[in-house]
Amino acid sequence: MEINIQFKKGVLELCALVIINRKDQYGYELAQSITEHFQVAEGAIYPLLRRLVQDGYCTTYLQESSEGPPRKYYKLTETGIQYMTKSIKEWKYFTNQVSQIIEGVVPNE
Amino acid sequence: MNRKQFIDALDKALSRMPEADRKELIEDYEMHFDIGLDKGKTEYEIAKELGNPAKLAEDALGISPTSTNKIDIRSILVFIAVLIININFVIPFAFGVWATWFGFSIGGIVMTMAVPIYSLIGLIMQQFEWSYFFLAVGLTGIGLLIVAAMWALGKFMWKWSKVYVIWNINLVKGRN
Repeated sequence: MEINIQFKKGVLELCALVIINRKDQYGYELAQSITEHFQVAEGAIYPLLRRLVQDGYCTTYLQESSEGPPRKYYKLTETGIQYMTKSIKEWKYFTNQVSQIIEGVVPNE
Repeated sequence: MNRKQFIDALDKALSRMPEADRKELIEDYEMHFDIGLDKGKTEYEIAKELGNPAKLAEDALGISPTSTNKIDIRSILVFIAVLIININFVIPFAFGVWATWFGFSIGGIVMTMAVPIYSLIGLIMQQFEWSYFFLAVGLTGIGLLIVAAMWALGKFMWKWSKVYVIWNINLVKGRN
């Protein structure tokens, strides 16, 4: 399904946080994990990750890999986990509100 | 678009970004190409998946420190306020707290050395009393408790000191 690009942009950060929280990721891995679910410019991942590190939500570490140079892994900080939890709450509330608006429109058809 | 074209376009579009940041970001994309090629994709496929380098650069620049640190009236006023409050109240207070902590820590450490100290005094004065010896042992125990408590307290205070400093910085920068 083609998804509105504005929806996707807003939600990319939330998806990244959740996925990283489940398991530390390197950039390419994260990009693949997300595109499994919806199409997005994979390149947008890197500025996003950079911002998460700048804001203190993520830290990085290098890990040796069997194929080639060491990879830069991202993991959430304590603050990052708190921020993720807060964002999930907001997302659930927000989408619930939007659904209510949509359902409110239906009877008028 | 092939790899070189992509990276060149990206590098050019990021020219406003500080050198170290730009280099690190470009490296991220180079690594992405390396891994993708390793998995059997072509440069063209990878460049296509990554998206439009000009748009990606816009994205990255929108969050670069040089462009989001606005120096305006608000940030100047906040900076002055933060400076005044910290200099007049917070720093003297924090200094007092840390000095007290330091005093207790040193005291605790010295107390843990009560037995050797008493032994030394006893040796010099050619004197020894069991009651004082056991007092020294007791002091050692208390000293250990104090040192342990100050250690934990110190870590706690250090963590919150850092949190406070970061909060101040963000306040001035205007981030929530």
